[in-house]
Amino acid sequence: MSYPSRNARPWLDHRRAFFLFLAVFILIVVVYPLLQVGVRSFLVEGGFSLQNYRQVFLQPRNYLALWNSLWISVLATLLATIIGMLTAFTVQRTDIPWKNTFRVLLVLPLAIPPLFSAMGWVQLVGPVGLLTQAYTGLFGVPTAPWNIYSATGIIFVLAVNNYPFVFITVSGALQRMDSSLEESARTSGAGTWRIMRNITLPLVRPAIYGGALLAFVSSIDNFGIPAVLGMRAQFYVLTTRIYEALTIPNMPLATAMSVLLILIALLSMLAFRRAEGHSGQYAVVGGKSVTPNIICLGRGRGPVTLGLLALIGIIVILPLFALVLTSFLRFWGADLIWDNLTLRHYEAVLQSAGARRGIVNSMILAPAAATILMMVTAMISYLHIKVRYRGAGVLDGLGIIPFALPGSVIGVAMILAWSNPLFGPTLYGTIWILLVAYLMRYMAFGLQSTRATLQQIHNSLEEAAWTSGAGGLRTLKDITLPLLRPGLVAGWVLIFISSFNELTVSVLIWTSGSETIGVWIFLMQDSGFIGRASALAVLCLPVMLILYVLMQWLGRLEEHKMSQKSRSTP
Amino acid sequence: MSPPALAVHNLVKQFAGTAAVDNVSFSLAENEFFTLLGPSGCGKTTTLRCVAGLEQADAGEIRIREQVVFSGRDGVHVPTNHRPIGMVFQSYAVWPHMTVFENIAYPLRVRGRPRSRINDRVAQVLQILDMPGMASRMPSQLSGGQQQRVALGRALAMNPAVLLLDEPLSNLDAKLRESMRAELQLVQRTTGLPILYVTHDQVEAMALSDRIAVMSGGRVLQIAEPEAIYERPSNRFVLDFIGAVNYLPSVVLERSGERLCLRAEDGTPLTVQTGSALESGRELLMAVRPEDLRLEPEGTPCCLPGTVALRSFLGNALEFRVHCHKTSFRVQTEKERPFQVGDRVALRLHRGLFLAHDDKVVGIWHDLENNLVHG
Repeated sequence: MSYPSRNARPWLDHRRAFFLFLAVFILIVVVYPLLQVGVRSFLVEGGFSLQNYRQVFLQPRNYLALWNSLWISVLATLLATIIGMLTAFTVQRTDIPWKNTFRVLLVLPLAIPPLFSAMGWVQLVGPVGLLTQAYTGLFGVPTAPWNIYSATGIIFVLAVNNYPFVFITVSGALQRMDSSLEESARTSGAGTWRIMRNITLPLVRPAIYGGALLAFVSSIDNFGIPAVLGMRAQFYVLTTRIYEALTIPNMPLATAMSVLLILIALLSMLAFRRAEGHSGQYAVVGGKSVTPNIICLGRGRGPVTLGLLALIGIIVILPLFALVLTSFLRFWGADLIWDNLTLRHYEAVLQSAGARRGIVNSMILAPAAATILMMVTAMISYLHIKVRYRGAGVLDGLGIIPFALPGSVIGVAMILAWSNPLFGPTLYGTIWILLVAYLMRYMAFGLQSTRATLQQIHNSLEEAAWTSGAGGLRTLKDITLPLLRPGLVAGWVLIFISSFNELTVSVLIWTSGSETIGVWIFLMQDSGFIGRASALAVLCLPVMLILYVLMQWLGRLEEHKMSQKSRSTP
Repeated sequence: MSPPALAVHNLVKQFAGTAAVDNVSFSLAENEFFTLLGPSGCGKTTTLRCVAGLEQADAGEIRIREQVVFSGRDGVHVPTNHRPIGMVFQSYAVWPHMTVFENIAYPLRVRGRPRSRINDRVAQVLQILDMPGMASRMPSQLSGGQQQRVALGRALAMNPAVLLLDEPLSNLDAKLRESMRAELQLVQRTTGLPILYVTHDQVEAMALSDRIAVMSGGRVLQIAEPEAIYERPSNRFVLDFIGAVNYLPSVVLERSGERLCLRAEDGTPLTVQTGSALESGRELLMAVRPEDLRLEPEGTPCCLPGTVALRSFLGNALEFRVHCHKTSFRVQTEKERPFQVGDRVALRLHRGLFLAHDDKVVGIWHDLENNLVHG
């Protein structure tokens, strides 16, 4: 038997074929639309021009939207960071009871689309909201001293939607922190509060910045909240202004503003990186002995627990309760009496052809996007991490980019790329443009989960299969894929949920016939069918909550398996 | 003489222009336990991985039972899965999603053996490893030592032509390592498989091996039995790396016939019988192992005077650190020595002595007392 050496491989071996296929996929899905945005923003009637940008900065409503986006997001992020840090420290570092329950409840806002949350808050504290009515009735005044249709309202709702990002990163850092760092401070004579201030807080600072960055990007990116709470008051941010520009339609303006959104996203990311860099990168992960520095609240334990319960009740439960109630009320603002309860909104929604189409479309798009992305990203990560194929790292880097981009940018990019494409079919006007949009937007989720899982699979596990006599394909089937499965499933569920909840992009590129559930709810809400919008939202909630719980459960399962895996491959 | 189980000839492997394996040659007889020993980065693991086919060498030849599995000249590189080998990894690499049975059976399944023969063979392997009743366990339910045995069982399952072991004991704690060491020896005796073993632990290498190849900087410096490596190191690196050693700079005073007169740094003269040709004036290092030194009461003639700086009880021996003039010596003695820290003592050379010059060992004595002409 003789075997050819490696040098004798043909030019197009199977690795290169795979690589080329993946490269073409990334080029079409990610690079081509982004180039369209960049190039077209400088194009006016076929020539280079700054006219589009001039349009942004000459009209007050445009540059005001830019300015509004910035200060609203900064304040919302500040508030979200405060809530996230306080809750994280309380749950991780005090002796309050029911910690695991609190951990689950506190991240619940991530499972609820921001649009639903905004609707719930309107129904709670809007002009005829539940709390507003209670207040005016109680004090005998004509109006409440607050107005949810305002910048303040937007900031508040953004903050209560985004604080979980900070909560998750900070509690994670607090949990993984090597407790000997705190113990050594204690043996040096420092008290509990002093340790918190001098040791714990500085060590979790990178996590705080990390969570705040996510909250900030998410605020800039958000469409549902400023659309529901701001457009009525003629208060525009970039995402809603782009939406408006596209309904006119003023494509060049939308394109130029998209580029500005990209710049904001990049600059904010650089700013946070810098801040993170200054706060120092400490290796605080690695401590296995988790006996953290717990503050005994003593007599304060009861009030603090109650306070946390109240916080969760107000920012998580109440708006959902309002949403459910509205879906059963004859009309929004009706008195809460038995006669006013009805199922007619549900009937109307389920009989509406548009809403039914939305449900079907979402049920096709979400699993399709999740399945395609997991297959493609698993191949990219495999080439990148295991085969160490030159160039696969570039594909990975390109695939991550859209994650940093606001959804409006992706929406505009999709329209530019696919309404009159340079090649291929005109996807605009079909549901497939939504599919391509989701592929672009959530590619990073797939890449990150497959990359992380593959990195955990020690090379020797595959080498052991080769030395056992298994060939490349056999090893892939018997060893690599089974070990990769938890990452594949986790990534799939995450993409499914995100696509199912997606609104910012969908609302820009939907056309009659290609509505999604989110789009349909927004359209009904926007045209005053509050009851129907609420009814459809309430129908979606169980799906989202179940998927969310499933994802959490899978995550914990994987963590458990990984701990076993790391024991078997130290 | 039967052909070697494994023969490696002039193997070269470069990473980014530097040679990780530099012209390495050795061969294993059937039944032989052969160890590649050296510090990290010496090329021992790369050599092993070239034998396994996990790395493709740049030049040289590797034959397993006379079959060429790699030849730089003829452009042969047999893929790992077609080489008749079994390998145990440092990280065990026991597959966490398979039971003990499935792990051990995998090499047989891949080769399409019938089910009944697989069952028999796995049972037999579990017997050899002394793991009966563990077949349906998952790896996560096993201790580190048991996982290591599963890895060994998987490598044994096919009855490979050569067994490759890459630092298999380095992840185990000291006690377990010793018992696994004994077990490895037993397994080898039972199976009679030739073993190519890689380690940085010289004690492990000495205890297990029939022969040891000491490697450094990608080269094999010496291949010999453990006793020979310890007692007759061919060069300074091997002398240094294997066992502990004290150095004392010295100068050749004169050479007359068979006699060599040396003077240590502190002025102590020493005359030994020698056959080697060393001209006078040459600077040398005297090298003595801690157990070849003896502590005597202060004032004993023919000895180096010194002070006890440290004394540690090792259980089976005593170890002293003795300061003499500019040099500090490690001395290992039987437990009965009555000396304490601060005592003035005399150091006597009583068994072995090496003379080293540059990176060479130029003189070796093991029955020094008979060769010492005068202290």
